[in-house]
Amino acid sequence: MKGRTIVVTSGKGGVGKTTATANIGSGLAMRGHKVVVVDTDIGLRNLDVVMGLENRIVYDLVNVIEGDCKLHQAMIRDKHKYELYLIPAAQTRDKNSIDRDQLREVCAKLEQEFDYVLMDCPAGIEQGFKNAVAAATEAIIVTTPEVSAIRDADRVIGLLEAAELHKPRLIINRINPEMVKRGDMMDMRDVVDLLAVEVLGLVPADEKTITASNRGIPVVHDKKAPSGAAFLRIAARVDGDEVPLVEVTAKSGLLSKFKGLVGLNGRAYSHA
Amino acid sequence: MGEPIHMLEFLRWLLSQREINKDRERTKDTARQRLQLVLMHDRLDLSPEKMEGMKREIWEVVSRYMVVDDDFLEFEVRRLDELMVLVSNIEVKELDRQTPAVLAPAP
Repeated sequence: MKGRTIVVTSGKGGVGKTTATANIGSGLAMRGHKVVVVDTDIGLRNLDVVMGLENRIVYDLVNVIEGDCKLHQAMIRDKHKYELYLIPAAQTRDKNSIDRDQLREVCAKLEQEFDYVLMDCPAGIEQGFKNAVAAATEAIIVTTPEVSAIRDADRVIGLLEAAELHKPRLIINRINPEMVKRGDMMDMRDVVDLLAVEVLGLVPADEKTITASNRGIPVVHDKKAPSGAAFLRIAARVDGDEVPLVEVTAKSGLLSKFKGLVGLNGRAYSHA
Repeated sequence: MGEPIHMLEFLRWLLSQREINKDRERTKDTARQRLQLVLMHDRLDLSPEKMEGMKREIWEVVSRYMVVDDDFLEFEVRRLDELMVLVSNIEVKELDRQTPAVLAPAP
């Protein structure tokens, strides 16, 4: 078996890389695949808390690389019934404790065993980013419809190209349909015109993403959550299914309009 | 019996909201236009060394045709409304140079 190694990156921090990694990983596992998610953000580990596995960590990625434990000892099985595993980042180590060849070697071993190896990349474009990119064969870029995130995404696209990771695909996260509707937020077309990359998915801003991370259960497990449904579609696309892109739009029914006027529709939008 | 008046005021307010919304700035357009230029500039990837090299070559070309000052007064890539432009200003000291350097026999 030769699995696919995909890096989830963004340039800018705080746009939802870790959330996307946890959800796409969970989504792929829910589709019946054997998946491992690797937190490569050494010193700033977070994928464990987003997935609710923080209490089960014994060994981490740096332990594996330095030979303190076997690869399998650092794998934490997800709480759900799926074939999903996490290799956490080291929290108290420097981000230069691993190099690209070491990470590539770990991924090569994982590819033998898993259908998907998903790497959560650190923010920025320094060594940690370079390591993850060098170890990957595909890339997913996460951005939000804001100028700073898009500018950084463009920079990352250039760097991926230079590293011969061609055709990265883009997730536009935290789209607020009300703002798009009134012309105060760039929509998919605007972002695609600027970045000229293929769109992998559109994720609406959704309070349920936050409540899910509060609980440590990725939102993709909540079928009623608009963002959860969006991540499930993204997982399907990663998996090769042709799922049409669904624009994030505001409901424009009379009731919704009235609610909008009186400020009641904080969550009255859908992704349909 | 103030009800009907309140209703009327509410409708008036509703309409006024619509008018306001029509004329207001769509900030996403501003964002897109700004980003277009920023990304163009980022992608140009002109290092100070490259800029200096280009400047020197342009100076050499110009000085074949006219006597110009040793340095540019201005030399930069910048934004001009919707465009990205290279602005270069150089002081011309003498226009009617008899023989352009390019045609002059080698010394």
